Amino acid sequence: MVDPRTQGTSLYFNRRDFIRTAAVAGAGLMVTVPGWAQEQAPASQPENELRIAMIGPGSQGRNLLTQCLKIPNIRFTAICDIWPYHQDYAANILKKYDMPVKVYADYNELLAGEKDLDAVIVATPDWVHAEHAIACLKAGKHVYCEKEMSNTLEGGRAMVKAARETGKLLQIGHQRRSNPRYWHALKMIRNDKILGRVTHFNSQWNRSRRFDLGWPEGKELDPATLKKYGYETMDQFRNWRWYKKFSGGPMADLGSHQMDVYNWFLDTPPAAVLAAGGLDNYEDREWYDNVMAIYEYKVGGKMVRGFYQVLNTTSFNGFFEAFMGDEGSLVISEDTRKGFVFREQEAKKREWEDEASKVEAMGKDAIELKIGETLRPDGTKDPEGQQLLEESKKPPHQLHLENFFSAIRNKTPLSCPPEVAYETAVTVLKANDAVAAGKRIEFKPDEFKV
Amino acid sequence: MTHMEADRLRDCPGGDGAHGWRFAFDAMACTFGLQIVHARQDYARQAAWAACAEIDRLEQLLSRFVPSSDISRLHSAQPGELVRVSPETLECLQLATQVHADTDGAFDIAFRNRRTLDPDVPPLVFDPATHAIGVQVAGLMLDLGALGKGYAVDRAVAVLGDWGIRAALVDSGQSTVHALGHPRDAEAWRVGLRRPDQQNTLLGAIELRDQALGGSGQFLHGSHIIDPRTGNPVDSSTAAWAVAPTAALADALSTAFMVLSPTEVQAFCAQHPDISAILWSPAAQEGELICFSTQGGLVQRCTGAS
Repeated sequence: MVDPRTQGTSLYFNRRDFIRTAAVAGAGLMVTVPGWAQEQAPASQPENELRIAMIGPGSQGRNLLTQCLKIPNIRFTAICDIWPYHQDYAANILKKYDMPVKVYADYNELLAGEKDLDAVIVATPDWVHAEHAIACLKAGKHVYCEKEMSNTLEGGRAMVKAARETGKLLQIGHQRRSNPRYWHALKMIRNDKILGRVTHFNSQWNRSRRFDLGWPEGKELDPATLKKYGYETMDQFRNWRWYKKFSGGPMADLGSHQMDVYNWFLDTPPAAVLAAGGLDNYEDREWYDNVMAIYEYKVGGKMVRGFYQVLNTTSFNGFFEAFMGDEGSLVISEDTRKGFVFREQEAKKREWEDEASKVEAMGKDAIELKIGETLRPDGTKDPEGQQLLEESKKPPHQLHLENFFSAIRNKTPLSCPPEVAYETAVTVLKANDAVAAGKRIEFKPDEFKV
Repeated sequence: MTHMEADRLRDCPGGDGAHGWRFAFDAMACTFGLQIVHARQDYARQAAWAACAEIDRLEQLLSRFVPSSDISRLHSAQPGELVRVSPETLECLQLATQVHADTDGAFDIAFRNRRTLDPDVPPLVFDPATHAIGVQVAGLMLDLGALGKGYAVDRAVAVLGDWGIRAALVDSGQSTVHALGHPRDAEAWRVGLRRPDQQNTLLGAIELRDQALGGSGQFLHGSHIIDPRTGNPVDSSTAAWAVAPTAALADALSTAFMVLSPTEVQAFCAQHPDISAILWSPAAQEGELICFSTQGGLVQRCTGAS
């Protein structure tokens, strides 16, 4: 009666053991520890507490909220969301942490009522990021704002200017920028030239078919409230990522994480983009469900050309970023199972290569991209690498939040200030324009500047 | 945004609005089954998605195979180190510690460390005020396999409750099941007790309503339950089930009941009126089920399923 899969014959008690292979030790390369320090103090120290509010504790907001709560001396004092269901969820979590919070529906009331906040985390839909982040900055608060910083370039520019004018910190949620795995890969590519000269890249985020997000019966917002906040229906409010008014579509939702990595690693925004795509596989939505883009970068006067795709009908090969050079290729992903270096047969062998353990990936011998196994010339482990390994055990968003809080406390640099995020916003939003126009778009360097 | 793959939630055949729409979800190295009573299948699916997102979130906190999980971070902590963890992890580990104490060590998530532990020094100390756990041993190796999945089942049921679902049956790998309410045409959910060495043989059935059942068996993959008190595999050829208010507790206790002697199980049930136990061994009692449960203040020893 009970078994949902064998049509109810009996219960099957099976304590299956986990079957996973252990990670294999990897390449012996030095890495550097970034300038900002890890938040260490374990005990609560009220005098050092940062007082925080969150606007928009939806699905991503909850993730950030949970990560913040692992960081010492962070105290939430207020949350704000137009949907009582989200308000209750966040307030209930915070109650478990003995953090009673004031709950607001309107961010203006939050800012009027909470004068002693140090910072605000903005995790609302993209189209109101600019409105919310700018209001917080102007109220004298530091802001951590989810990506995409805005679904319009006007919004993004206004955010950059507001951060400059107020002198307050604005961190945008491209969390790979705070991820030690990515620093390690960057150092291998840029300093150790493990790939020789990077000539091409290939990246994707493929995910299976989405179904529409719903809401618990009886908990829908009433039409007047929806209208007040800019939504025609509850379905629009829940599935806002599919609408042009509210979102930059999958290129912004997913593609911006990855194109941000290319802008970062290649140390320049792109020179041109050619793209195709469309809303071909979903009904009653607006944004392209599939985009295939070719980007061109000019690096040191040479061409680097790369392909990016985002699909919403198949999870084939998941998500990763690959860099290809004339001596090898490197695959990295926020998915920690993906991190490999493939060396070309004819490339001159590095002195540490024989030391590095090999794994088979994609049908080839690969060196696993593994930090913390770094060796110094004398064969001992690199202590900085060990420290980085410890950092890398934290969830990616926690690291990016720690970077933000450290910037507030210690004036260490932000990993993703608004100028950087704006370059990424231009990079991905213009790919949407290229799809719409059906032509190749050349960027002018000034387009990336505010 | 959540990056959980939508195809991880699968529709399963054979469901309907009265007995529940059926879904399956792979997580924590097993398949979770959800049977959700609601007039509309699409609504049941959205509720199932929300419940499974919660299971997925918990796996990120509790799995020792996820490098950034709370459990992995505890494993890499040095003795004396305080590690801040999520309330869910704290709750699981506190429950595990409580069951460890209540079963005189028969349930033990630190069984891999136990031989080298100083009996006077608990491996973990809790600091609920700062949501931190102090690690007191080097090389800590916790295994929440006998509790975490049940805990995830409870949380999934709680999410379904948030979605206004009044009747549902959620199981993890068919080894722990939480019954919410009852189907439309019955007073309770009826759950079969399967003989562990013969998949198609039912030993009995039990009716559950707002209760959970956990089961442990020995035959399918060889002996894999370790008696933490001796460090050796349990050698009796038995199955044990525990009925408890929560799936986390039922999950943990079914493992403990495999290790404890029937007399010890009976004593445990006498002290814990909200817990019932069912034991089975092909050799004992001519293969009948032995049931201990408190009814009217008395622990009854009976044969046959209640």
